[in-house]
Amino acid sequence: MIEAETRADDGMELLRVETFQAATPDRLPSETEIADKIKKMAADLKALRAAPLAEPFDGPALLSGRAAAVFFHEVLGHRLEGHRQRGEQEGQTFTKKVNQQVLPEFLSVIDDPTQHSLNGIDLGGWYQYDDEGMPAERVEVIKHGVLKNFLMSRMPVKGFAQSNGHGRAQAGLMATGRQGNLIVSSSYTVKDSELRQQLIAEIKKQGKPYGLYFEDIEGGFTLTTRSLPQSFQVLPVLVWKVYPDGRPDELVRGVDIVGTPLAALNRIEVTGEKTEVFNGVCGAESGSVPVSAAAPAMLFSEMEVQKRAHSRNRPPILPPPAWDSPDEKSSSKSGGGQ
Amino acid sequence: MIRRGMVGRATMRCAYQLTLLVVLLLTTCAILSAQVAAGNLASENSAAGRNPDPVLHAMLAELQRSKTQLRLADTQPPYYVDYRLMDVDQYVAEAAFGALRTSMRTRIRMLRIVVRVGDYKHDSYYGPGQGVVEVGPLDDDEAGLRHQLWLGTDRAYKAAAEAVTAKQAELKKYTVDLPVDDFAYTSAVQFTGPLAHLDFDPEPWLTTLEEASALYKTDPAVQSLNASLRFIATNRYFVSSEGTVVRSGDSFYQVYVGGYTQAADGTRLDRSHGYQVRQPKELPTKEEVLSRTRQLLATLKQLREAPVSEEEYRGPVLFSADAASGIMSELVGPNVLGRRPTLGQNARTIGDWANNYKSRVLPDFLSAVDDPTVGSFEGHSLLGGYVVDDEGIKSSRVSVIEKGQLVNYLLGREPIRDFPSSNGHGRAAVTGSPMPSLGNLIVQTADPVSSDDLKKKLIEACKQRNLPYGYFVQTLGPRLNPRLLYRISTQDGHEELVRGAVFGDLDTRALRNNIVAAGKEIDSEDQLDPIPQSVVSPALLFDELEVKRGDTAKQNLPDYPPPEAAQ
Repeated sequence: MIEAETRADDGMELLRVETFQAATPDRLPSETEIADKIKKMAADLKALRAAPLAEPFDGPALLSGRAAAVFFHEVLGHRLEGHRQRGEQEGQTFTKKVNQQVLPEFLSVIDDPTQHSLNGIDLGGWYQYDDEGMPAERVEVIKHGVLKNFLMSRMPVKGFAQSNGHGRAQAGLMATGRQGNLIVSSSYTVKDSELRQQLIAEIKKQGKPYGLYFEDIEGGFTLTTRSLPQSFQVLPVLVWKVYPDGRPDELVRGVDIVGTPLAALNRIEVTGEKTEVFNGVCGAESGSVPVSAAAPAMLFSEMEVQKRAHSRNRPPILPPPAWDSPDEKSSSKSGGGQ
Repeated sequence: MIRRGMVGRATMRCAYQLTLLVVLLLTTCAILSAQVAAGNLASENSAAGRNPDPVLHAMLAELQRSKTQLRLADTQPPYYVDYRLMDVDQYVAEAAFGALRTSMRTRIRMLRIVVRVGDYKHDSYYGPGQGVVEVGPLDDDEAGLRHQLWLGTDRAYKAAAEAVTAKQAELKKYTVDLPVDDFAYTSAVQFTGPLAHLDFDPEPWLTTLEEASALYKTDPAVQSLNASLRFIATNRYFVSSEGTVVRSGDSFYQVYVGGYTQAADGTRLDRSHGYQVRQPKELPTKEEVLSRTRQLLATLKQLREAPVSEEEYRGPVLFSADAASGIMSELVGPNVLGRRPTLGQNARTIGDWANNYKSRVLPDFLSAVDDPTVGSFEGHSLLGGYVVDDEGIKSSRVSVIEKGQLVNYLLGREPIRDFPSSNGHGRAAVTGSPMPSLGNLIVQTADPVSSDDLKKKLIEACKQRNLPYGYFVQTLGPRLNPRLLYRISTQDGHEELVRGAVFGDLDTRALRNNIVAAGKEIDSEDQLDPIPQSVVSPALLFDELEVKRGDTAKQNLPDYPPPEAAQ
């Protein structure tokens, strides 16, 4: 994992994280690939520092495959964990929706821990037996938009008496139903190159000044308990304003996606063709477990974003040591590389 | 760990480094010649800069920048900055039931950065202004270390600016009777000691731990038997804007054996034994560890079979030197520290003896000094020696109790009423703030009595009060509860081990009023965490203490025998 952080002049902390996960050391990326990623991270952070702040917005949005994958992991995946369907504290978003339409008909979702890799990328949520000794199973949770199943540990919920091999935990904790490799597939796709055209068409149709393109999302957290709003929040890091009039896209910073899960999921209009993979570590009651989420790029007719609350701390007073020249008297003014 | 070749950049910065060295030598106010401490505290002095330590070099370079350039608009510049780096190399291993459970070597470098705004009288050392902690680079990468220091200093300065305002606002709520300065002024100290390194071969030790913990097989009633070790080398680097530059290294080697069993009535019975030394050669041999473990198991068995001390007792109690050093560590140690109470409180210290300056706290035949300048005392190796404390003050021998009277406190650089300067006792754990701490606290008697005579005195005192027996405490456990407690018959001096008793009133008042004699032999209570220290005491005879039955919860015994017994 490589993590880089900088601070904009208004104090906003800007973070980029890249993780590389593989089943064996030889499948890790080469040094050149990692170096290229680092260069991209540095360039992104530099661009973000200079980018204007996002405004609150409600309108069409395009999510890259990786961004859509994280979105599904947070918004859908966590709510399909079996143990969340019982317990007074839980919001039970999907508990009574079995055999009902919860997604557009062209979308299906499986969680398949038995799948090793996807499009040549090792999947982090691969395992043969779960942490309760049950064999891992490919579970069709949503078929053609209809909710069919939950991710079950050995703790039964009404109508689902058996484990389906998703009881997972980190060492020392009790297993609960968790995601493995959550894979979203679509039967209504357009070429990825055409998605952008569709976004622009949607912006024009709604008469909005611009739409948003989410290139990357770092991860997020989701609240599933009743006492807190049933909202979700993911942390997009690279978000572009896309203008319908042909102006170049404009990077913005400080965007937070907000909203309620069910509503957001039903605003997916169409998807791209290529499935992208996001490997990461997911934390919940039973600890941190490696997971994957995979999805194609998706066009949402409506996405609500808010300004991110951020620190107001000022950037450092002195320039970094390597950029401070002993020859210059007022070296604090120099900020460039040497 | 990714190691980067920094040759190119280091060469580029050569000219800059030379300039800094000159600055460094000019700003050094006073150069203290390093003193080689007695005992095994070897040290050496090398002229700063001749063969610059890359860590010190990076710290000084960044300190120079912070000192001269750090300034936030509308805020005073710092009047004081210090950097402390603790480089900890640690090896821990543990075995239980004959099998190794942990074997782990770790190394970490922690940075602590303090920026003070204001002046020595009133400054920002309050709340968030008490410094920031960062993780430092492990290799001697000067660029990486300076970058981390730069960010930490920035955070610390901003926090100090915030803290000084918060502190002033808080102070407005109180009336302060006798104001004391916030920070004691001091002249610069320079000391470069040798770096500490761990020197050991793990394999024989792992065998020792396994074999010692395998001795559980000799007694099916033993429910836990652990043998562990911890070897730790700490190198400390400290630089301050006052010109102080200190580097010192310490290593400690600790081996521990502990176990417990349950009496038939369910009472849990614990025993442990630890070795804590500064050099591997002082460690016990495998045979010694095994024999000590057998002894420990034997006493567990005796304890299991020992009668419960049922009746309440009020009378003379004799403590072995081992047990007495535990009492001194618990009851004298914290109360001779000059720890300043929280803001607005007018007490001198936060200890029990805040108002006992120049008054009697021990019987007049007892005195106590804290002497961090020695490595051993009457043949006992001590842990609390150091040359310079963690605030850059040279250590010194401080007499705290003279003929029973409290005459001084152990002080760091935060003054307390009537004690404006440090006496070199400001010490810190790896990431903590320096606090007044013990070094080697040595309690001595003007009238030493032999062990045999102490026992006679105990019996004599019991006879005078028509008591059928007196108590002798050989070893104490946590919270000054006895682990090995014997009844000594007044009739014939016969010793009987008892269990389940606690003391009712073993406190500072009992220390002052009830000690009637002290022994010739001494022992020490040594502690590595959070700050290495030793407390030395002779055996002590109290003419009156309450011994009563302890109310501990009793767990049921295991439902079925251990696996070995079932085979």
